[in-house]
Amino acid sequence: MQSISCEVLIIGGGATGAGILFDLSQRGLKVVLVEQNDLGTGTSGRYHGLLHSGARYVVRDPASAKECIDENLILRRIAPHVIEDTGGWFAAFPQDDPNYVPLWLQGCAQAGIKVEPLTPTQALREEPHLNPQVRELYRVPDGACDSWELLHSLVQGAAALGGRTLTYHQVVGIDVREGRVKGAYLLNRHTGEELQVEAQVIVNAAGPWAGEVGKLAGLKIGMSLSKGIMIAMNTRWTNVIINRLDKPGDGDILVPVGTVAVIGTTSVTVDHPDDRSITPKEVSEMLDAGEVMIPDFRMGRALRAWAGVRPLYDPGGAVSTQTHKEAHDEHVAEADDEGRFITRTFTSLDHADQGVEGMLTIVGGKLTTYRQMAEKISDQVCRMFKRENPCRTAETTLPTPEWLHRGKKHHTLPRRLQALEHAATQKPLICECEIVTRTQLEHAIHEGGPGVSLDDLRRDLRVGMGPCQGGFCAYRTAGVLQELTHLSREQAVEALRDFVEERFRGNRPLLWGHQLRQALLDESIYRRSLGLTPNPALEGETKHG
Amino acid sequence: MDDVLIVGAGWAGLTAAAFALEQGAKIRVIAQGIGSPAITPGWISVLDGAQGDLHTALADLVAHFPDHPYALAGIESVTAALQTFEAFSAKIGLPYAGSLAHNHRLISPLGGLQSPAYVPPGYRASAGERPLMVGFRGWRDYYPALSGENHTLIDLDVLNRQWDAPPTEIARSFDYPEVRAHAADQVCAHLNRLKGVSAVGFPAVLGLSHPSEVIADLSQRIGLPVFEVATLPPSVPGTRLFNLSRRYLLDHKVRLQIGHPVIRGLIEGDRVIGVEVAAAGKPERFRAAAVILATGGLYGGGLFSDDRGQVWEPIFGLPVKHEPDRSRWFEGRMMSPASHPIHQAGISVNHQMQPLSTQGEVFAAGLYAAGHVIAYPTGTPSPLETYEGVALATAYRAVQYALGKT
Repeated sequence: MQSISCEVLIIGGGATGAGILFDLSQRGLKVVLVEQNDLGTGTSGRYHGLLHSGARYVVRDPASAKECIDENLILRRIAPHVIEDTGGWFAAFPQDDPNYVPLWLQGCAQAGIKVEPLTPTQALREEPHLNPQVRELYRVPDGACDSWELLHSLVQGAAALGGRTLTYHQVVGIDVREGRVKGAYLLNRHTGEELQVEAQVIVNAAGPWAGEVGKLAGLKIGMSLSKGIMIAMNTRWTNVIINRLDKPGDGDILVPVGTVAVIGTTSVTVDHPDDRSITPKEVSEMLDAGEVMIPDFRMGRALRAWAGVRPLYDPGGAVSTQTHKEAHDEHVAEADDEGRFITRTFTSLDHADQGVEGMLTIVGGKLTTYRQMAEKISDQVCRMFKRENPCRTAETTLPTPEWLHRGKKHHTLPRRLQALEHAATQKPLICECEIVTRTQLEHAIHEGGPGVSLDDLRRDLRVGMGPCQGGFCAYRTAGVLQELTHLSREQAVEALRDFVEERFRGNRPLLWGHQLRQALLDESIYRRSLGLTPNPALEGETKHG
Repeated sequence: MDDVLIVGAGWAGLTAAAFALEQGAKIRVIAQGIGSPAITPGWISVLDGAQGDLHTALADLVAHFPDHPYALAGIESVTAALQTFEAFSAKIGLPYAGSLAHNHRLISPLGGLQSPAYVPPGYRASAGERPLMVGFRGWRDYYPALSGENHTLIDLDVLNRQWDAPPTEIARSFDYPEVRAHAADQVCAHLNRLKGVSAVGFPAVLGLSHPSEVIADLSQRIGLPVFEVATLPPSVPGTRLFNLSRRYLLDHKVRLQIGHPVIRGLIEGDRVIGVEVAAAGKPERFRAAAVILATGGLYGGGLFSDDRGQVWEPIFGLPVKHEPDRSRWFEGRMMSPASHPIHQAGISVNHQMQPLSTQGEVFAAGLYAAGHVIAYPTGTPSPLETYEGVALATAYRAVQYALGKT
């Protein structure tokens, strides 16, 4: 077995883990980050794309609101390239409780969130799709944030300082001897090889999987997993983020993200981090909620639904499942929706008191506050190493990964078309929906290195994420990938099949109307024109695999 | 007033017009767009999964599923439709070849096999050959390395400028002898370095207006049989069929109105009298003794659906049979071996292809249906395996009854 050594091993390649990697690397520690899939495949990649102003939380969770606004202002400084400054509105519709408004305004004032009123007439002039029955509106400093670009920036920034990232490596064991962490065992999911990592400190930043990681060290970590669903509509209904000015509820946020608009979200307690099921009923309810903000909402095409699992800290859960259940029921009784009662602030745990020294866990929090979470836990790590290097992440501008960025800024159609028209050397469009050229694809394949998958390329380039959901570009991307990486024909077909199924999983809850027609066309392309066949390994199964 | 008015110009609508023309009827076709051939590979799938003789497989299918469109139309309609279509295809200069004795075995773009029953020129039995697969450098719609062991990329002048050439434009360029000569030279240069190659496969873009001559000419220049492999839509073989059929039908006085959305069916008493078409100013009415609804299913645009799980037929408001629970419309995987339940959605018809009301009675005299607007029973092979066969058989049957020929 190969082995490497470091001072700190971080488990989890989401925003928190990558933030810690960058922070500790900057403070001069030798750090390795390990992620079981690609970067941002957990909660960080499965969110609505909102950079919170904090205004969502001012009434019931003022601590979280304060964290959000502080970090919002910092992120605008250090990572402007991942943020589209759309601004946000809180809008009260006839369905919303008018008594909530004064409470909310007071909360915003206390948290230090700048709020500016605007009249319905002004608002409708700026956003003609908005429900004209809107009663009251306020501008807040929300923004749209591309978490994948953020993660790439953090990892690239850390790499320049010696911080190493291992993707597709799963932690299969944590070595604890005489009450101290010694390291971990990793499984390379591409090659099947094992790898030993010696580390003095392990930071568990595995988000909803933090409980599973804790088990590997014999620890119980009290978690409450809260699932939220989001739907991307093919129409960028507004250029500004719309929040319902009422207490938090289902489908009360609409975020313009690139060419689409994302509506979210819900909060349902689940037992397992991999539970990301979505029912047609949830989808219809989300569309009903969308119609309150945008009356024409149902006329758009729902492109993709996904669910993210919030890793909320619930100390009650640490004791036993039974107590967890009771504590949970009690909370539900006093709260109107499951999961939303738990604060969205974060908690860091030092497991020394449970008999495992050198192991820290960070749970809770939000993407918006990833940097503060990283700072707090990095301070803790530095204390363990008796070092006094101060945190500098709030002053350091993050690098912009050049290859990722070419012609891709904010994904808006005019910008992409402009980039395309002014580039003399761009090869043909591979993905027409998202305007991805062969040149961009070749760069991404080159940067992705050996083992790069179609799904990795999707996250890097948005290939396959538009209305056709990979109907045309999946074959093209597989063809180009094969040409450049010399995959065998069988491997390329397998990659194509995996990609098709991955796209279908997100699309399946949304198949009606035009998107159903699209799926039927895609099926006809794959099965008839291309002759793609069911996976022989799964042959015989007919139900959910 | 027309003898028969056909709504839709996909596989069912176009062939219904061809079949009605054989009977000497006065025909009008009104369609919203160019229809399904351009997105299908252009061949005729009768029962792709059948091993050996298709007559036996079809008899089995019909015996098991008395509500299958093949059973409703009758196997005699399947054979008669195929024969009539074969003759029609020869007349339009696109002779289809095949039989119900066995399916073809074609190489697929992903190196597998495809097994339609009747194929247009270009698609020729190629399994068992040792082919060289040829693609075009820089062209995004075909990757020869995915279709076979021997493969090469050649240059096409038409791709030298910066544009995203669709398959139909590449096909148009192959109508010119100098383009074929340039392609053949490059292929021959490559063949000199290879041994034992018995055929040469190209993506299905070898000519748009007269493919048989283009393919023969290319074979002659290369010195080996040349065949075509299906690729991404728009399908050139399907477009050839559409274009050549359209020309033929127009030349034979069929009124073919493409780009005219039918918005409503007109019924007087218990009889259909025609349809209403969206037009500038006000809707326009067309009257006919019989109307054949060939608008397609959920894909074709003949049926609509919403997020609450409703499915409806918008022109006549015909009752649609479908699974009401939207969460069960699809299997867990797109590429599941079993057919997705949503493929079954459609209207009910009797043996004369007359749509039925919820009570099982004839919806309106003079109204007939053809193609994928018709429902499939549970448990049948995926409609994708019987796609064109069902369109042809039901169109044939509908025409016979619409014109009172039986």
